[in-house]
Amino acid sequence: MIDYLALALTHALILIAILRVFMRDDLDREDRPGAEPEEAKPSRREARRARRAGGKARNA
Amino acid sequence: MRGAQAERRAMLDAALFLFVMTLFALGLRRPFVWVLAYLYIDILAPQKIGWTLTPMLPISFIAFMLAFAGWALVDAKSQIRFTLRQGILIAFLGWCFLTLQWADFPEDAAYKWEWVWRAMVFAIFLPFTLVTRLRLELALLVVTLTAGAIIISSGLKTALGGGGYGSLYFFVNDNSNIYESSTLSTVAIGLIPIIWWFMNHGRIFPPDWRVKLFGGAFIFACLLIPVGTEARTGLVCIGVLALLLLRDVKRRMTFIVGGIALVLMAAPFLPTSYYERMGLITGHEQDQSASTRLAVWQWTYEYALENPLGGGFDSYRGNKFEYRLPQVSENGSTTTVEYKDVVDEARAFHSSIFEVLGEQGWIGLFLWVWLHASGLWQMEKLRRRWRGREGASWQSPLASALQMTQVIALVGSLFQGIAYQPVILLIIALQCGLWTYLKRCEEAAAEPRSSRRRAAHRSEPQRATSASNAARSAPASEA
Repeated sequence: MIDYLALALTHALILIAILRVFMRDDLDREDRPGAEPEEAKPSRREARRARRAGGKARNA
Repeated sequence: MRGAQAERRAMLDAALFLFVMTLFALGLRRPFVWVLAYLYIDILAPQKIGWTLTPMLPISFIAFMLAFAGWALVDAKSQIRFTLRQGILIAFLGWCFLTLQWADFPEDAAYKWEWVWRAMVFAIFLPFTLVTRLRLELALLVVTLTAGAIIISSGLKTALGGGGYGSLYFFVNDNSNIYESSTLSTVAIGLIPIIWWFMNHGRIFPPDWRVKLFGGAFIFACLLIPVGTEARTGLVCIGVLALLLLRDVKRRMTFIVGGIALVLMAAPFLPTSYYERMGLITGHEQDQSASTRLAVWQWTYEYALENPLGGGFDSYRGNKFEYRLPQVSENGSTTTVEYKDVVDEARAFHSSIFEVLGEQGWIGLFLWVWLHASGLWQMEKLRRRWRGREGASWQSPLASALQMTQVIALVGSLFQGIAYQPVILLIIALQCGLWTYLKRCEEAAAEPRSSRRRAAHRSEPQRATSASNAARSAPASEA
């Protein structure tokens, strides 16, 4: 059982990691090597949290 | 019950097969995934875990060929650089091929050569593909997580009370690759600095509470491997890692006190068999394994003096020696020590230095030492050069982590014949990748500056001409 758990966890993480960068252009080529990429858009959850925090601040 | 187990194994086999096929399919769109597939197959050997579907195809060979083909057909070659260390590896590979021609045991040597050349060729090739930061990180992540599958499962088993020297069960139990107790211990401890780097500087999985939680548990599993396998090398590696970390930690005293507290807290939970085995580190006189080592090393040194060009792979098979081993027996209150003659033959080298010396002679040893020494030096150079640079937070820590991993691998190498271990060769390849990538970064950063300078240089004569024109025209205007 432990074997299955360890295999499932690590394999899922490998697959997620590959899929996360799969469509990114800077995987194969960087126009200026070493240049920091532009700030990524906040995820939906982060945006929601930020909105909520803003709302609370306004209410206060 | 047995039927249910067989069904579960069949499911696992199908899942692993599907995973490999998914990687192959993803590679059609992004061929770099084939490189990752090879890294994964090389470390985990899924074809040995499954027993029907995965062994059906030569997946390791397919991934090897696809990785090369994908790079040759699709990747931009303008970004690649050839490094000195890849050159050393090529020379080492060529030399290994030469020693094969005069090997003492041609059949055994040919068998070892079969996997050694592949590991070395891939290590030479891998840096060519690591042309972006994302690729570098992804390759490192796949290596870490794949080894993590074995480490996490073995760590959990140890935590739940399994283990013991030679009795901790892995997915594959044939002592191949990193499925060998001492090798796994060395690799597990060596990966800790890399996991730590991912917990602080990862970009694919940006460090948040989930990454920190998983990373922390992963490091704990790594630390449990030397306990579970009861491999003495692992304990030595942990000690060396603690010393290395002292160099980078901000609060040294807190680190030392914390480390001592952790050891004291963990001590009561360690099994008695562990203490017994670790006790043999110092009292090696009664231990056949340690006595054999010393005898083999002595034999190898003398063999290399007689055969300076080496005896080819597996030349240890020719060794034979006798030595006296003390046998302690307790009878009531009296302890008697008897000396027994022990005859040993065909004992493995038990040290990478002597493995290379015995197999590849002094030339091979020189190349191997050069390969590793240059790696330590290069990583140290990167560590210092990139430390504290503005907007460059990840480079220096990564060089530091890869250097620590290499030092731990070298410490493990002192007691095991792992000179051609594929995972260690992959770490060398990743170091070469980081070295060339950062070199390109520096050149790219210097380019605008030098082009500005060139532009300034070009405009200077113009300014000078216009100034002289102005000087010439001035009297005229005054006139």
